[in-house]
Amino acid sequence: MEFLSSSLLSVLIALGFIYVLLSVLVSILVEWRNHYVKERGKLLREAINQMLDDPLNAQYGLLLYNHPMIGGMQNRKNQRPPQYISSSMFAEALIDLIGQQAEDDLIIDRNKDPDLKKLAFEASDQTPTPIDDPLLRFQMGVAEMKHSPLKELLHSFHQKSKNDYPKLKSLLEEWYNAYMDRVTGWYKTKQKSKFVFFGFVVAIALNVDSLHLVKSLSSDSELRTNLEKQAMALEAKGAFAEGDYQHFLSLLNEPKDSNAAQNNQVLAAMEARLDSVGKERFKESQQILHYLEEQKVPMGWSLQSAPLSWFAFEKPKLDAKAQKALEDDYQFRRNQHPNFWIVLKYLIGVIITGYMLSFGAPFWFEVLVRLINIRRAGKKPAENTNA
Amino acid sequence: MARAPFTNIHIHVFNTECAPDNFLRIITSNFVRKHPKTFKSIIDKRFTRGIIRQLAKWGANKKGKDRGSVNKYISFLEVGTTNRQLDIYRDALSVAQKYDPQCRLIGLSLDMDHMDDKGRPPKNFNTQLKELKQIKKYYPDQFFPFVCVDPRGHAGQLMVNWMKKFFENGMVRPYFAGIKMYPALGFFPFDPRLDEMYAYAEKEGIPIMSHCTRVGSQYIGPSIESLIPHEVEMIQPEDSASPEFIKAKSEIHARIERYYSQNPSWIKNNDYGDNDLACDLFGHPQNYIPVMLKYPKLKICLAHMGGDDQIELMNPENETENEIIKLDGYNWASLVKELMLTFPNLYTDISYTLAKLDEKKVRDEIQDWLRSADQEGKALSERVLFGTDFYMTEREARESELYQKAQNQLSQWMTVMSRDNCERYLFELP
Repeated sequence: MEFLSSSLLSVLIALGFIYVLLSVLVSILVEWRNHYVKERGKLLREAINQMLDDPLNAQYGLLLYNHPMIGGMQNRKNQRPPQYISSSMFAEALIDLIGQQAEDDLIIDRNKDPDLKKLAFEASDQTPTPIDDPLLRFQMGVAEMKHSPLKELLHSFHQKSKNDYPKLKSLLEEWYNAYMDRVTGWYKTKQKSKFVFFGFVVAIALNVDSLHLVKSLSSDSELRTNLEKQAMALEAKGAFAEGDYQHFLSLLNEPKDSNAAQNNQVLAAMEARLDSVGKERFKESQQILHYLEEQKVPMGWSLQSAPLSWFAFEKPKLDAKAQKALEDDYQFRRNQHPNFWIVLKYLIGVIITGYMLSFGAPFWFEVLVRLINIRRAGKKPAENTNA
Repeated sequence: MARAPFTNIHIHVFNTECAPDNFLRIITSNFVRKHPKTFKSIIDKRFTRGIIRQLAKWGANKKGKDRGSVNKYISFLEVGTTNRQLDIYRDALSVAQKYDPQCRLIGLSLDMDHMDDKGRPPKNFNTQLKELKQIKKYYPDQFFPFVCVDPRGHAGQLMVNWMKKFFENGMVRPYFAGIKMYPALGFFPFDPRLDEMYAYAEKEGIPIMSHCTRVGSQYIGPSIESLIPHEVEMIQPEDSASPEFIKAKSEIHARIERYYSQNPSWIKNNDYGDNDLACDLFGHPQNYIPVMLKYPKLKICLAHMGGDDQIELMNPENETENEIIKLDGYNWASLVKELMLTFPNLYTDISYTLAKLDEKKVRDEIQDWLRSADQEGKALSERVLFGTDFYMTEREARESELYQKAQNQLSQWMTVMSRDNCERYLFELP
């Protein structure tokens, strides 16, 4: 069990924690993008349309979105469909929607006026009164439908409910929830490509080379220990338990300079142009970026580090001995003496980061918790150990 | 007795979801006809809509002729891409209420399920109708929908059974107010499958509104030849030997043959919806003669006065009319007017055409039409209805501008057209 107490585990925990932070950033960006392209709402609408599509009768999914209970949640200004519809709301709206068909079937007298030879359209006491009992209304609405798979399904729900409204509602809710479980699966599958894309965006935008991270964490005990401590403290608070990045962020320490965005005029101007959701996501991403900055994680773009340093570096005038000593130094070689292998390693490192981040935050939460559990089961290495 | 409310007899509230994915093939551009789905997907994007809205806002600051043609299409698309039919109806209502808070708007549904054989609309016709029922519930005294019929959807007695639900059932009375036909989508008005429907409509006093211009929407599927047989079957009036019927029948058949025999043929199966000329055959005013002969009490409105393009060509100073009219044998506007002189229950409306009221030729011909009298000496103005064709007209002018044009140019007939005639057309019994 020597492995358990080795500093390698510390490196893995620190690296895992960095991946957690970066994959949370990826999740924020994916959510932000989904908000702007109405992804979640659109998929929900498509799913409900598919669920309630009845070519023999009507597309009840489309009609459901016109129902005041659902349509009222729609953003009229930008025509954004609701991103979430509760099962209770769905069931009540559907019962009402199907019930409305019963009223369509009420027979009206065309009320011909033989003296005037005219069709009278003024309201009269012959106008049918609406049906008050929602169950009867639902039953009549189903009866009004042409025979179709959806009609059979709704009819069976009504039969099983035995004329009990809460029971009918609960059956419809169960059906909706089961369907939404499948929709969540579709959503996740659809999101996979977005996580890959934003994983690489973050890896490139923040210049995160995983191979360089491993090397730095192995050689810098202070960085490694600090990250490990932070990760374990957060784990102890249950930050990773729910698999939800917003819960994680709520337990992550606020950066010391939390007004940095406001202090930076460009960022402040950008933030001012965002809507409320955009502002929220912007704030969350700022929180992560500041946190990473405070931890001094070796990443980001600078003229002193690869790859910009490969183009910007002015070689210092050194004597042969000093030159030889520096050439043995990993940082010097990586940043100032690029060769084919160093460039290739850098590219591989960035690709690994992008790929790792594409797994998403919940995956890295789980991995990190397992690593921390192993650490707790084993012996902790001495803090001053330099690998 | 109180005067009937102000009525706009001709508006549309369906949105682009009610049309098939290829519907942009109605635009006469080869490029658009080859890539209709691409164009539709561009229009459907939120980003594009944002740009459309922004441009429409700029367009809103301009008036009438100053508005560029792009802005006009943008206004049209802006309405068409609106999510709900209810929202479109409310747009139209807000304009009409300035003239009469109790105004009535007649919403004409459109069955586009058979417009293209390659795919049905995202929102099918049944769903479109259910949405209209919702609007009717919210605005029982101000919204009067017409149910669209197509013999490819329902036929014969089954069509009547299906249709009765819109006239004899419902929560408010009357539920639906009339029947809409759009023959250019691929059927003839004299189709025997419509016979029972006409009989029912005549008996119940239900008005029929039919699109009647050479341009507009059309069948965009690939099998136009299958819809136009060389020998078309026709509703037979009781006196099938009557000279009017024999003349109409022979001319209709001869016209079809002429269209087939053109080189290149005007009726030819194709993959791009190039059926503009062929679809003129469906909506020809002459096609209603067999129907009106068999059902003389049936109230039919041939909308748009035959079309503004035809009004411009009425009574030409020289006889060299355009190629289409020559081959067709008729100017549609002249023919509709002539039919109104003969058939006392034939109506027309000024919808869409009123956008051209600023043009002297069009205005003069319309005023002459309104002053003309039928065989009984009654002015034809008693059978001309006021309508705008909202929101199709957004390509030409804003809805409020159309109301103003009608008020300014046809002021002496405005009340009778928008109130008395509409009341009679909608609710008078045989």
